[in-house]
Parts: sequence; C-alpha cells; structure tokens
Amino acid sequence: MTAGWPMSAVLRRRYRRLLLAYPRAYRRRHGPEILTTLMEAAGPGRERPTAAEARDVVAGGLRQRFRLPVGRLMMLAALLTALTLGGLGAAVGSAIGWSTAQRPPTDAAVGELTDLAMGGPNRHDTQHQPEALGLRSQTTATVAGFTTAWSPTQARSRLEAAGWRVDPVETVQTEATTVDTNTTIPMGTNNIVADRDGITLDLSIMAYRVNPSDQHETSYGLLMAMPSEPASVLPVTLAGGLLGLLAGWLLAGRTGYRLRRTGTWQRAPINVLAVAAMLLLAPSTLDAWYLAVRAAAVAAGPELVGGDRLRAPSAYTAYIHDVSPSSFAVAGLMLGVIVVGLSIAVRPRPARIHLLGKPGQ
Amino acid sequence: MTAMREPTFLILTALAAGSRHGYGLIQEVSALSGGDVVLGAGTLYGALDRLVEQDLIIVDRDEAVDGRLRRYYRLTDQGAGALATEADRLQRNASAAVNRLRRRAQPGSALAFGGVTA
Repeated sequence: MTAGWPMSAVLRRRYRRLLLAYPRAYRRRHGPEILTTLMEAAGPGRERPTAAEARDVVAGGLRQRFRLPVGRLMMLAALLTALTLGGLGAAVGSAIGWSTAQRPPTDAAVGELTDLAMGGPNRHDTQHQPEALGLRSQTTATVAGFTTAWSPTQARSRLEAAGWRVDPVETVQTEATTVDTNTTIPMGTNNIVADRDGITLDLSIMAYRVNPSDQHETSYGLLMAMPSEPASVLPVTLAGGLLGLLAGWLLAGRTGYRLRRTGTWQRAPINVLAVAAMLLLAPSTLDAWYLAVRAAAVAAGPELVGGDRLRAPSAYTAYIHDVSPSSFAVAGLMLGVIVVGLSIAVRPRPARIHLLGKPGQ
Repeated sequence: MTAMREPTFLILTALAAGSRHGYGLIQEVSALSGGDVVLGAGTLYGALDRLVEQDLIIVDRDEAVDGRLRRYYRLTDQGAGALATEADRLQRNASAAVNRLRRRAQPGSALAFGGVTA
C-alpha cells in the first residue's frame, strides 16, 4: 500500500464533513478509522470526494442512525414503540393545531348572533359545554317555541349581509312525538352552517304544528357557535405523527443498545414494564392513528359542506375519556417515562470495542 | 443462520487468512470477487459493525501510520464456523446446479445411471 503521499487537507476536511451523517457516539469510536480508509482508498492527488463516495458514506451514516441491535424481537419492539409514539405525536400535533383556534364568542355575541339568525330579538338560553383540554369549546343558544315566520333563504341572506360565509341550507323532514298527547307530528328541520373570522356557527330550526289545524308553525331554534378548525390542524397532526414514528424508532434502537449490554435480571423487568406501558396506551394509540388517517382521507376527498364538516373528532380525543385525560393513557405514559428513566439509569457494561484484546490472543 | 449477504461473505473470506484493516479489506474483497464487489467505506463499516455485534469478527489491533489510525479486524472462532457453514452451503448449491446443467447438456442421458463424468 502506498504510504507517505502528501495528504490533502482539503479532501480530509470534506470527508470529515460527510462523516457528520453518522451518530456522534459512533463517530467518536469509528470516525478516525473510516477517515483513514477513505483517504487510503482515494489515493494521492484527489481534492474532493466522488459522488458515489459521498452517497455511500451518507447512506452508511443514516443507516447507522436507524440501526437496531441484532435480535429477533428488536424489530417488533421498534415498530411498536414507533407506532405508540407516532399516535401520541399525532395527538399532540392536533392539540397544538387546535390551540391556535379563535376563542369562543362571548355570550353577548352569541345572543346578537341568535337574534340575527332568528330574524328578531328572542328569549334564549345559553349553555356552555365542557370540552376536553379547553379546546373546541362551544356555546349553545336555544330559542324555544317562537311563532314568528322564519325562512331559511332570508336567514341565509341576513347572515351573508353580516359577512358570514354560508354553506347551502340543508332541509330534512322528520317526525317528532309530542310529550303531552303522545302523537307523532311531522317536523321540518333546516340546518345552516356558516363561518366568519375563525368562528363557525351551526344553526338548526325545527318547525312543526302543535295541532294540525294551527295556522302558524311553531319553531324551535338551536344555534351552536364554536371555533372553526384552524387550517394548521391536519398538517401539524401528520407532522406530529411522523416525528413520533421517527422518535419511537430511534428511542427503541438506543434503548435496545443500552439494555443489550446489561444483565438479564436488569433487562427483563424493564422489558415487561415497556410492554405494559404500550398495552395501556394501545387503545388510545389505535384510535389516534385511526382519527389522523381518517382526517387525512377526508381532506384528500371532495370538500365537505354543512354539518358533515363539523365535529369530526381530532386525534387528541383518543387520549381523552369524557373531558379529562383517560386514566389508562396517563398510566401508560407514566410507565413509559419510568421505562426510559430506568434504561438510562442502568449501567451498561462498556462496549466491546473498548476492550481490545492483545494481538494474536 | 440464514443465507449470508455477498459483501458479508466476502468480508469474512478476506479475514479468513489473517487480520486486515479497512482499505486492505476493500482491496481484498475486490480481488476475491474479480472486481465485481467494490465496497464503499459506508457499506464496509456498516457490515463490520454488524459482524462485531454478532461476535463473528473482533478488533485485532490499532496501528498508527503517518498520523492515521488503522484498525485491524480478525475472524473469531464463531466467525470461522459461520463462514465454513456458509461455504459448505454455497458449495452444495453450486455443485447441485452444475450437476443439473450437465444433465441438461446431454438430453438423451437424463435417466443415465452414473453415466455422467466430469
């Protein structure tokens, strides 16, 4: 082998830059020898790495980053960890997206809106529904039994004149059963969904005749005002899911390498706890992936109008039971943190590469 | 053990006769394969890392040459065993293939009893 040619400092620096593709710990252990090999293979007189060399080194570095320890179950463990953290990432992403939504309108604003929608001042009751994490809170105003004539086209025009973007009116004929006489009467429902300045309103007017002979219909109005879904929710959800997948895979690989060099009696309980954590989180994980994928599928399909586009649950609701975090999910997350803590706390035996045998041993 | 990938097989073969360092291995693998397999450094060190992890090879020694670090690797007993097993397997498959091809070359002798000679 050619020894002693003048080494190009430029080439050396360029190779070293390529080696940044490798994880730091690996670079510290193997960087110098890889650099030697690259320099020796290059021979004298070269100034820059060839495209093939650059590709090979960068690909090698990336492979090293995503590499898992040898072992039958390692791939499965990495996949499950990736899916678990991916679901969690999608949920966190969706919650972050929703946290940028408009604050819900005040009761006074909802009152004005109700009057506008009904076509005149009306007595109404306002209710607030508790919502998970304080996101997507909605205010409901109900107007019971008004007999003034109400027309969907006029309501639509009034809303549009006030700057609302109004979806086409949906009209359905249903039936209602009266409480006092227990008879079934026909009922017409008009539904209007409209948006303005980050607020969505969902208006339903149900009209019926209490007695078939009544001249005027009686109407029951229901107006729900809620923050509109910010455009960022879906992209941040998907980005969170991808980041979670990546982080889960890397975490499993790292933890795997650490635990590989510990004794079985240290490793076994950590593995058991990790499985328990993933099982506790499994229902939420599956639901979060389902919701994220469904949201992506809906966005890819034809645009939804009216009531169909409202109230699709976001990925974070997978970790919510009622309005507070699900206790299974909380237990699973806490256990997960303990598992990571334990695997950092155990002292692995030093890597084999540092225990260099004597030559010819 | 499942079938070995070709670079792995060639690296183990190159180390069978004695310890070698990175560039030496690249040259030896290229020579062994008649120039068919030219390993890049990224591919080589990925394979070496795996082999060390599987205890098939081990770091033999470090040498400093002109301020450069050369690390030599050598085969472990386990690695020699794995290489021998793989070589047997390949030989068996290769001779089976050669035998079948000979029969094909003589259409009339498909049912010949020991009539085929080298």
